[in-house]
Amino acid sequence: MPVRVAFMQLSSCWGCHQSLLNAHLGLLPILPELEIVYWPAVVDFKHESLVARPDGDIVVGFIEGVARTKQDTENVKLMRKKCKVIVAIGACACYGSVKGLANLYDKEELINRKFKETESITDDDPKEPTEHVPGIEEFIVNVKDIIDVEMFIPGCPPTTDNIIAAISYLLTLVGEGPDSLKKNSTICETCNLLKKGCLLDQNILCYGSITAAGCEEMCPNNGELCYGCFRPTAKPHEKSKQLKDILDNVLALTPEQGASLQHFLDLYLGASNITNFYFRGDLIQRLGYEPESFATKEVNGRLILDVAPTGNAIMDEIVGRAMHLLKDDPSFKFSSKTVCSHCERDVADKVPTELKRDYEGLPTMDKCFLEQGYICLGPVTQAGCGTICPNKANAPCLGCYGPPVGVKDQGAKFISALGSLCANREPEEVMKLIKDPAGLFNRFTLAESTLGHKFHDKMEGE
Amino acid sequence: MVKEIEVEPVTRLEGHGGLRIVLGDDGKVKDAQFNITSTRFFEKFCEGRYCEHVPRITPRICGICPIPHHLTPTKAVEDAWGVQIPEPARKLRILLQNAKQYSSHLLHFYALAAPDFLLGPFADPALRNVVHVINKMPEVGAMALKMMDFGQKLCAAIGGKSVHPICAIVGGMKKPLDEDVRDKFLKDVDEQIEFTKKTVEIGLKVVEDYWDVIANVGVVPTYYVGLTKDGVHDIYEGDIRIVTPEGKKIDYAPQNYLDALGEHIPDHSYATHMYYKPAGYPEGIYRANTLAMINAADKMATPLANDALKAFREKTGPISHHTFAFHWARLIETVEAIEVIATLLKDPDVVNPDCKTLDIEPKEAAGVGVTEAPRGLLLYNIWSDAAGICKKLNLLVATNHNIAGIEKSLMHVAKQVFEDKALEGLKLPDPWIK
Repeated sequence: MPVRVAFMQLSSCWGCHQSLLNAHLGLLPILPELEIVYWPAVVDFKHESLVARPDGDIVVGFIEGVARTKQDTENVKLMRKKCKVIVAIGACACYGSVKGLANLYDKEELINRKFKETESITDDDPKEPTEHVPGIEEFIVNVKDIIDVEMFIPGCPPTTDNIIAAISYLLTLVGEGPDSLKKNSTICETCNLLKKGCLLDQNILCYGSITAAGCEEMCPNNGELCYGCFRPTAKPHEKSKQLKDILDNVLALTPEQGASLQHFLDLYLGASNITNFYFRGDLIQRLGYEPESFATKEVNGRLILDVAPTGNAIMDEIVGRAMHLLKDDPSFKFSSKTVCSHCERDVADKVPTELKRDYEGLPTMDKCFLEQGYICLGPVTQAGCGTICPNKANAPCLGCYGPPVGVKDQGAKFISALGSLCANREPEEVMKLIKDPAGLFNRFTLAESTLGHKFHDKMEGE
Repeated sequence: MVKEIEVEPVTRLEGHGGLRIVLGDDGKVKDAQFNITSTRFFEKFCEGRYCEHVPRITPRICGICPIPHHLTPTKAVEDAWGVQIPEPARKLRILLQNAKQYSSHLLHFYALAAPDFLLGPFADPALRNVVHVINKMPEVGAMALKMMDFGQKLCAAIGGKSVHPICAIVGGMKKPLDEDVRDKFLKDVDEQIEFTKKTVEIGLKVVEDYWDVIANVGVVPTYYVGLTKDGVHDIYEGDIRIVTPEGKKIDYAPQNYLDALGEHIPDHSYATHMYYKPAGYPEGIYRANTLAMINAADKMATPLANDALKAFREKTGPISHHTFAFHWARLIETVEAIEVIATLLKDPDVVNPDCKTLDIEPKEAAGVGVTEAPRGLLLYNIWSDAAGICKKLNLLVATNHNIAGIEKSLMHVAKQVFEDKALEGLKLPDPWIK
């Protein structure tokens, strides 16, 4: 069964669509899997057909672009109503991209330059267009601050591979699973160890009691524990109480238990090892990115995170407890890599020998840009792009994949990194190089940043 | 009763727009609007940025044509600072610009436009798209995909990324094409020339099929704007050429653009209306894009394309006002693009590492850069301060150059459809895909 999808384009450049279409022949296996019900860039369905659909009728809705106009904002809300899963695709929808730089100015300044002051305008008294146009928002507010977003695919644009990987992954999530899957049964029911000596009896974490049956290579029958890769069952085995007891009695995780829980949650909740996009609906990723976004509740005197991925009380409590334990566990690391960690250039200490503007000289292909004196945002940028700019194009990283996990403000992080790299220099010399910190360090994330721009000033003033 | 016909949104379009036609009691067309409903204010938020970084922000104006939006501002800064670039860098940029022209024109022809004429105007909207074309004509579909792929991969090989390239820098290019990569494209380019010839055959068949439509619907005399170099078709450099509705050609150096190009702010579109200043508005409304380029050119830059131009003019005359001939004109430009690509891939300069001027000083001055983007003339006017920071930017993009002309054509066609019932006797072919 093809999955019903919609693509919404807000104010944007079409580049994310082009990046997807760049798959060219690679599109052929994917297209039959999709029932496209709205995609103005490619197909002819009109806006009213989207409005007419029942709420929640569309499985996956992709949103591209920024909410620059009032119509954009309405379309964001419309997509949330019509789609079960919302994917923010591209730097614009994730964190504003370069269009967020407009937040450095008041709306009047933007409008005056474009519609009144431009040198080529010939009207005596030019005015902002108002007829049959939607109106301009005061500032760019990121999509995730207008509605809940489940998944983020960063990049300006995301690479073709990233988009195809994300779509394929989503299709597996909403698909029906293998033919052998038995949702109404559990691993325990066909497990040899149940009689020979259950791992849970030895206080070892095994997740078969809450996992659907149907796997052909039974791990427990080969002496391995079950990590739950066949995902939640509809009917947990009575052994699940024992699993819950073990977790309830843990005060601090051992390193083995921590690793076990993380591996289990990765498989059980359908998480993947793909780190070049953020799927908020993937609870383990969300635990890494935004641990404080979960509510905590108390069940039987034990604290658990309030999550409901399975819809079954005991299984949700087990997952919630596991996540609570992992949340404060020092061995739980959901770290993402930076562009630097994938870059092929030779690097010693990243300390610049001199500072240069980008038009000066010509960098060599083999040595770290920072060491050659050029500003490069690799250290504060999420990996996943394939390090094209530094390694294929001899151009420093501009930061288009946004900040890595745990970094709130890409620009602030870079300033602090540059400060320590230039500790042996006069501040004046460094400042001479960076006359435009917002444009250099927050080029793609200004709409996300709190670095004193007008949107936030206004918000705080209210 | 006044009746309003609204198309929202216009689909298979790379921007945001709606159409609105207002009919009066008497059945007459009262108004025809093309409403562009989005804008992002690049001309303002580029202020305060380093001039050399402006070309790394502006590609985000258009994801289909980011390459002209990368090269044109780079040229504008070079003009302001008085920077010369090495010849290998210039050739590399021309190769890049043509690679983009090639893939973009094919994307337009096959993915955006072809569903209209392969399925016909009365097809089910749910099927009238490129996915269905690929399903029904898999051989043509695969060929189209391979052509777009070649163009986009060549863009990526030179540009770093095909969407939002980062290769150009004030003073030249960051690096030449790698020799082994060049060799791969060289190996495939002959096949691409054959594909292009097949595409032209398909195009000519469509022209023949739809000649009654082309010759009778939307034939709208306007001015035209395009880029030519010494009168020859060029998409990287040259003069702004205005063509009058009667076919008179007037050239302007890019720096004198304000003598030729006027901008009217309409009340119903965020994209402004450009027109030929000496003729006034609305009389001076012009059209840009492929047909304008073909009308502007004395000749094409390459032999096969020039033959194609001659065949075109034999059918349409020395100047064509046929709105539906934009597709045909696009194919002529596609032929030129692949010929330029084939020639430059064989040129040793594209792998020459001497591709960047090293000593560059910013200057307080204004500069203008002009190229021809796939959808029309592209002009950047940048003002730099002594430290090389952008003080001001004026952007005249293809959308501006097209909108007034599209609206004029829309009005013309609306009258033909609703007042003259001109569609009724029209000869339409059997759709290729039923």
